[in-house]
Amino acid sequence: MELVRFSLGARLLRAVGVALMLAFAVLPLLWVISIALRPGSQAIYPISILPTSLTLDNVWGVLFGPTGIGLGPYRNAAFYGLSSAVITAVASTLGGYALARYNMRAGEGILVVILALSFLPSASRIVPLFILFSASGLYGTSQGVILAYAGRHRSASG
Amino acid sequence: MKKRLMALMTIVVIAGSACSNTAAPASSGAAASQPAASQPAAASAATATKLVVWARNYTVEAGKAQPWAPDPKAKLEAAHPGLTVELSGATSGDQFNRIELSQAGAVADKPDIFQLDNIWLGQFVDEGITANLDSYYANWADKSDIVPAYAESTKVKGSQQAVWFYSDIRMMIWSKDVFKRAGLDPEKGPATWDELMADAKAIKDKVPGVNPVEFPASSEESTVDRFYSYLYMTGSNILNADNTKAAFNDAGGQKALQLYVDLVKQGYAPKAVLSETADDIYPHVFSGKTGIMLATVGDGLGSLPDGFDVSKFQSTIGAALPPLCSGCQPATTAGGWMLAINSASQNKDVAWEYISAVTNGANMVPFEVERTRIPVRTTGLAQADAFKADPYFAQEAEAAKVAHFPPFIAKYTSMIEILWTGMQKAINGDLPVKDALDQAAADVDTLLAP
Amino acid sequence: MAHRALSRATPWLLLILPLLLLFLFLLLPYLLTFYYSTTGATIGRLLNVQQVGLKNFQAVLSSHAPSFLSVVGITAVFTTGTLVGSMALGTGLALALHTVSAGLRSALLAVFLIPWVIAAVIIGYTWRLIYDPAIGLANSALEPFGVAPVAWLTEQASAIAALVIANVWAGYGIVLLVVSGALANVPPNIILAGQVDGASYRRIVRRVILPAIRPTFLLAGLVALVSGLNTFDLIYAMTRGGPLYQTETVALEMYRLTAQKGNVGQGAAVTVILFTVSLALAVAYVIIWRREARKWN
Repeated sequence: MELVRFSLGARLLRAVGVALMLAFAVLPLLWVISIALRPGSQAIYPISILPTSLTLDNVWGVLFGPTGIGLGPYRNAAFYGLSSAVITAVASTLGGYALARYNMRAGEGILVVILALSFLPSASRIVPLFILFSASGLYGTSQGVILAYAGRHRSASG
Repeated sequence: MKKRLMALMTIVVIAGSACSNTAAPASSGAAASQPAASQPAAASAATATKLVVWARNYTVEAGKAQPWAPDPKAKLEAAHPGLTVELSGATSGDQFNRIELSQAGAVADKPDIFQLDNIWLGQFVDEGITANLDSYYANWADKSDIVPAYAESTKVKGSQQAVWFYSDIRMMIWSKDVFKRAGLDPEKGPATWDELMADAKAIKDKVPGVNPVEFPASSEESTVDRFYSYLYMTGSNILNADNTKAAFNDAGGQKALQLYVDLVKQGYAPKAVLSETADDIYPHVFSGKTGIMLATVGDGLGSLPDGFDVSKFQSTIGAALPPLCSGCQPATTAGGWMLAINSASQNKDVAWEYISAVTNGANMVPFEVERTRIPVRTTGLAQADAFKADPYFAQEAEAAKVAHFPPFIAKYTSMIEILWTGMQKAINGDLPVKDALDQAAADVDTLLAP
Repeated sequence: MAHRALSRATPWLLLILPLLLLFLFLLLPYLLTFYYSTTGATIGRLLNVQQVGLKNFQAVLSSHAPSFLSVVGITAVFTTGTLVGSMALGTGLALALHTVSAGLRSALLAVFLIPWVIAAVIIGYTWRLIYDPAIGLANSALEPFGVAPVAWLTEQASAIAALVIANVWAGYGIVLLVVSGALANVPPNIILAGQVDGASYRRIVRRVILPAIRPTFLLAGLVALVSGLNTFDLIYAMTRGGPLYQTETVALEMYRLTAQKGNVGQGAAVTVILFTVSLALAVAYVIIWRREARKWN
């Protein structure tokens, strides 16, 4: 943005700040990735961010090895994530449109309560959802999982 | 306005049909083994046509040694024409859930045989899920083949409720590299508590930057599980004989916990153990940052990383029975899996026949070798040659003979939380050992009171 | 005639799907939970439960290991730390990136958002490994500076600090995203006006930019606050609430009572207590939002 002219000092400060933040954001991930790409004999220690030899054996073993997980979990995650995202998006759009376009007094109270409920940790829904799902036969099905997530609306903490 | 409405309705319909999309990718466990549509009518009349077996996933893995098949399955089906054995595998968590849910009626199919973790036995018996097996045990030829410690432990409230399948035991392991650097014999681990202290001192003095000893002490199950061996060897026990009161605060229990506290006080074990689980500590030993791990499941061979063959493993890790205190008896803790018959099963006789064939000592060996599990039959333990791929099998066979089991009670998870909290208080220095254990024992007594 | 009835019914028709979803999977479970808080329900006995009135609340509030007061205190410290940390980092970064060219900004934003999209459990176990006293990255990084290995997750102060760092790492991304978006919408005229008046960039930020994005700033603050209050997976993976309940937050206490002790009634009581706090926050949020919306209209 050219509106404000920065001195060299200020620009340097900004660059250092951003670089530090970048390191903070990225280092943990790089470290884990480098552990994954290391041959097993180098186990965990000594740590060096740059491993001396790289191998894809671990990744391959986890995915396709004898006790591998295969690609199933990724398919599931994509399916659950996308489905609940679609449902949430549609529901939110419809709801938002209705509440915004039409003057609904009831909307206020509902909004506050729903907002308050969505603030609670999702772990607190486990038991009642289990009861509801077992009673309706949704237990162990993907529809159940998707709807449980969609009802949550958003999950910043997973 | 109408056009907008139409568009919105279309979206709703699409979203709705996405909801009812049953083309879910198959995943292991309960979701896959339950058809979403109607069930075939239960065809169990006087002659059984289907024997439903719920097992752990790795026991039914294609291309690997299975205890269930091919021989036992084929023989059973030949002996009972028209019968098919239906095997399905699940992960540990899923297995527990589907057994409980089938009992609660939330799942349509019920198993005839199910595999259970030994720590679930108490709860399942309490809930009436297991069938009483006394009549079958009475006339069983193989009964004498079961290692006595194991045979006793499947008895709950005086009657047999399960059959041991395979086991794992707790051993002490050490890093041979750290021993070498400390001037200790890498092939010989400490055999007594005094030797343990001496070895720890040697490591502390001669190898800087390495923890001499570690044991899990975090707020989690492995803390108590790895402690039990040291408790049992002093002659103490977790609960009294009828599982109504705590017994771990007696002199033996105090002695065992005092070992932990002393190790930390002398600086041989870091206080950081309070936040470490067994899974955290194992890699420390492996990478030479810790000398000795007081107890781990098996000898660690089951967690072999890629790139390690058995000889490389053996040159890195040493394993032996947990060291003994003076005047104490050798002991270790055992865990593992059992088989039980569903109390609601219509095919108990056939189920027993199958269990008997599957758990036969000779039949189990190929599976146990491949999965590095411990046999619970003396015929299996005697086949040291078959198990030669496990460098410490001889030690494990010895250990199996002195195996103890945690109490199989329904409130086990609540009880161990009280125990590990008490242990933490002592290790952290908040309370002396006696007070910490007495407090925990009082809480456990309250918990177990009817 | 029918057309008028239809147009009056339209808002409700549109709301059917969202309302149904919310009712079945948000409201109903919590109504059940609130009901359970007055019963003696346990994991093994969820139907045909008997009423115990307020006994569960009594038990929860007077529990001695851990004491409810310490749980609340730990939650407050953790949540405040997360809030301050994510807001400071997120806003500071947004302001810094705001002055950078658009292409570079998008690239950097994408990288900075990566932690936010990772599942909390994975973040928990990753940071647990980082804080490992023997083989973790944290102590290895401090070693060349002569710092003795720190037992991060063992002492209460360092454990809570460690958790806050990990949670800020996980959560600053959303603050960054929201504030960045708001900054992009700040009309350049008012910044130019500030510049013309000879103000330094710092002054412009404090007096012009921040007030201009106040509603979004508050929204981001609320998201960060709620995410801190809500955090369960991360703490459970890293410390399980221990050792000795020194990192036990209200969310973990709820889980411990429900799943570990099997006492559904008491777990539900904790949820009800937490709900009263959430309700207060939600009301505060709506009031602030409406006040800001009115100001800028």
